[in-house]
Amino acid sequence: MNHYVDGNAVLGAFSLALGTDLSEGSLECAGCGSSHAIAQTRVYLRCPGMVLRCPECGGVEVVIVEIDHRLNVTLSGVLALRVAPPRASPTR
Amino acid sequence: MTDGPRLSGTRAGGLRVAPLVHLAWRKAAVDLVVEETADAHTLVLDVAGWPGSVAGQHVDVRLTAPDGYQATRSYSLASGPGEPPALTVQEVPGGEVSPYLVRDIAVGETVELRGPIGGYFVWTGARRPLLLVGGGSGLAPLRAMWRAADPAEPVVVVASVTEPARLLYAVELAERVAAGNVSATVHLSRADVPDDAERLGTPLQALSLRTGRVASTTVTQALTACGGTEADPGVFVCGPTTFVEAMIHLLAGAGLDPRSIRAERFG
Ligand SMILES: Cc1cc2nc3c(=O)[nH]c(=O)nc-3n(C[C@H](O)[C@H](O)[C@H](O)COP(=O)(O)OP(=O)(O)OC[C@H]3O[C@@H](n4cnc5c(N)ncnc54)[C@H](O)[C@@H]3O)c2cc1C
Ligand SMILES: [Zn+2]
Repeated sequence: MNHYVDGNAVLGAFSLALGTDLSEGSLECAGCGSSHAIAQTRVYLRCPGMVLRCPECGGVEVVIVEIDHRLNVTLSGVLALRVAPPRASPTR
Repeated sequence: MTDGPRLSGTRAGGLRVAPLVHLAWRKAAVDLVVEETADAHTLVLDVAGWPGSVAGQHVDVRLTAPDGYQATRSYSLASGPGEPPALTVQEVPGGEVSPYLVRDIAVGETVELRGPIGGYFVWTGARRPLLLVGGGSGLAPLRAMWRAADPAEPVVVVASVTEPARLLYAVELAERVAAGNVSATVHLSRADVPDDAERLGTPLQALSLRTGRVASTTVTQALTACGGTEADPGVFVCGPTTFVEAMIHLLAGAGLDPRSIRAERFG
């Protein structure tokens, strides 16, 4: 089953974890170099934690895990995180 | 509020840090319950200090069991900007949260809520045509959008439901179609179109109904009704993940750049 949702669904938790509003934020994927809105990532909610994957290459960009009311964020697949909206539409 | 991690902001003037007060959990009291269909209810909420919302945004709702166990789910705001927050929840049988919100919660009771959230799947009411494609409860954020739309611009709605009785907002859609700037095509994926006599005097009379899943002809016609790709319509697709994928495929086939389509997958 590929019951993923959009990055939009975790903006609340992700923003709180980083302490800034990421509603219009964008990511640059470390795997393929593409830039896209956080809202365009694919999120797998029914795993332990929330996994955000690149919409272009499918690589894991971000993992958010809540343990004892503490949010832990791993940004292993992210080259850059921008708080302002992306400049151009994502490239393939 | 400004002592979060240092992140790069690309705006002139440096880092733009938005306050996060709206992401604190707040009490939301149910003010009104509207029975949209047999298994979908709209909860109109009273939230102290509600800041208003942009069409397309959602909130996170958190329920806490007596033993402390918590479950959080996202629900779109079906209310227009400036209206009190309203959520339309469709029951997913056996689910943890939605049956409670549809079957059990009563006026005066509270849930915890954070939001409004989202800056991508949003419509600010810009002067452009709107193409809204919704499957099942995916119509919820689209209602906020047609309420926010510029009355001078066309709004084209394509909806998909299993059978007529499960169509959300049928009365409101019929009224907007009658008023002129909205057109609506409703696909019935598992039912035949009821005959004219059956539809007489019901909101279904005003809507264009078709049997079967949304087909490429419907999508092509809808895009044409928006003025075609040249008119640069705002295109929003919302609903179950498989539905959204299928619609993006059809819209791309009709000539739209898939990257210009804003999608919200419900899972
Ligand atoms: C950004 C966003 C906005 C949303 N807005 C709305 C909205 O306006 N109205 C609304 O009714 N729902 C909305 N949803 C879906 C909602 O968040 C829940 O997923 C849904 O209510 C089911 O939750 P549950 O706890 O009842 O089911 P769960 O206990 O989470 O799931 C029970 C079973 O149902 C399956 N399932 C989970 N979600 C769905 C689904 N959406 N459709 C079909 N099967 C599912 C699961 O795989 C599981 O097998 C939205 C989701 C997102 C990500
Ligand atoms: Zn990538």
